[in-house]
Amino acid sequence: MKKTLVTLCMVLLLGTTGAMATTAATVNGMEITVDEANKALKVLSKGKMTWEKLSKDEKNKLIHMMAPSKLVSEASKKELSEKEKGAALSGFWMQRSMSKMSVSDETAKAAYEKMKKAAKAAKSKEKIPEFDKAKQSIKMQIAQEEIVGKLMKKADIKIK
Amino acid sequence: MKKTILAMGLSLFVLDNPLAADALKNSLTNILNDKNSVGMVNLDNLSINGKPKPTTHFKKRSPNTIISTVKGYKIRKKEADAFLNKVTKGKVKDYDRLPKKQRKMVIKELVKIHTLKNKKSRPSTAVIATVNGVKIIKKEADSFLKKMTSGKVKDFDMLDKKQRKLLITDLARPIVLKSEVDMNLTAEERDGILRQVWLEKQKSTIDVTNDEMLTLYEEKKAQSLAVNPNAVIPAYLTIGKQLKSEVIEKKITQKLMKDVKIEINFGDHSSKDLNSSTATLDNNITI
Repeated sequence: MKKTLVTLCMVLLLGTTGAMATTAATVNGMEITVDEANKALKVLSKGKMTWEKLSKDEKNKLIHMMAPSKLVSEASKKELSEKEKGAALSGFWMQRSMSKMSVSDETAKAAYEKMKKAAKAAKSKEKIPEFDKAKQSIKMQIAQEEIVGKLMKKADIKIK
Repeated sequence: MKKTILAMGLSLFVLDNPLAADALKNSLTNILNDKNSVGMVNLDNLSINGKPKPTTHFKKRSPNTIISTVKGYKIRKKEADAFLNKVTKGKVKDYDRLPKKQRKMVIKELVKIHTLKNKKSRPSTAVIATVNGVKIIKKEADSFLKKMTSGKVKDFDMLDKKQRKLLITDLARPIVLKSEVDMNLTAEERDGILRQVWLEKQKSTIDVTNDEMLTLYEEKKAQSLAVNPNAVIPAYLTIGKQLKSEVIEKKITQKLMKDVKIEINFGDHSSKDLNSSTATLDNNITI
C-alpha cells in the first residue's frame, strides 16, 4: 500500500514538473508554451536563441512582446459574434478554394452574354460594364457558384 | 286538268316577281325623296371583316351549389364567386362564366387557401429540418422568412412543399459551408483569421489625430538619426498611412495590455507576476 502511494506521488510530481516545464508564461491565465516561445525566438533571433538560453530580463521582454497577440486571440474569440466568425472563416475558405479553381475566358464570356441578355430583357437601366472590366468578378462568381453547388449536392438535407 | 294547274302556276310566278321588285324600288325611292334622309343606308353596325360573336349561353347555378369536392372539402359556388370577385377586383363575379381551364385554377387556389387556413403551426422550437445532422428549428426559418418577405409571411408551416424546400436550401448553405470549414481549417488558421477580423474591426473604430501621427513621426525620426545621423528620413506626408496604422496598433495594444496579469516561469521555480501596460506589438527585443 505504501509503495503504491509513493509511486502515485512520484508520477504526480513528475507530471506536474513536466507541465510546469512546458509553460513559459501565462497571460490573463492563458498559457504561452515554451514551444510557442521558441517558435517566436527562432524568427526573432534567426534560430540562434532558445527559451532556456534567455536571461530573466530577456524572457520578460519576449513574453511582453508575445502577450498582445495572445490577448488579441482571446478578444477575437470573446468579442466577435458567431455570425462574424462564421462569415470570416467561410470567406477565407472560399477564397482559398477559389484560388485552386480556374474558369476559362470562354465560360466567363458566355456568362457575361447571358447576364447582358437578361438585363436587356428586364429593361434594366443599369449600365453594363465592358467584359474586360467585369471578367474577373464574373470568374469569381462562377467559381463560387460551382463550389457551393458541389457542396449542396453532397449535403444531407432532411425536411420534416 | 294538269295543263290548267301548270298554266296557273306559271302566271302566278310571273306576276309575283315584279311585285317584289316594286317594293325594293319604292323603298329606295322613299329614301331619296325623304327630306330628312341623307340618302344613304346606315351601315354602321355592319362588320365586314369581323367574325360574328358567338353567343354563349351560361347555365347559372345557385350560390349554394357544390361545385367541387377535394379531399372532403366541399367548395360552394358562392366561395368561388367571392374569390373571383376579390382577385379580379370586381371584374369577374361568376364562376360559371369561366372556361374549364380557369375553373380548375380557381379550385386549386381555393384548396390551397383552405389547406393553409386549416394547417396547424408547429411550436417555434420544433426541428423542421436537418442539414448534415445540424438541426434547423422553426424559429430560425420563421425569422428568415419574415426578413425575406418583409414581414408579409412569418410562418414556415404556411408554405407549400416547394417553398419549404427553397427556404431550407437557403438556410442550409451557411451550415454546409461551416461544416466544410470546420473540416478543412486548422486551429492555427482559424485563430489567425479571427484575430485579423477583430483587429480590422478595432481599427475601424479608432480615431487618429494629426498630432498623434506627427509625434510618432518625430519619435521615429529621432530614433533613426540616433542610430545613423546621415539617415535619409522620408517626408511626413509620404508615410502618412503607415504612421496612422502604427498609432492605431499602439492604441489597441495599450488597451489590451491595461490591467493584464502576466506570470513568467523563469525555470528556477520563481514566477513573477508582472503588470505591464508598456509592451507594444512592435516592441523591439534585443536577443
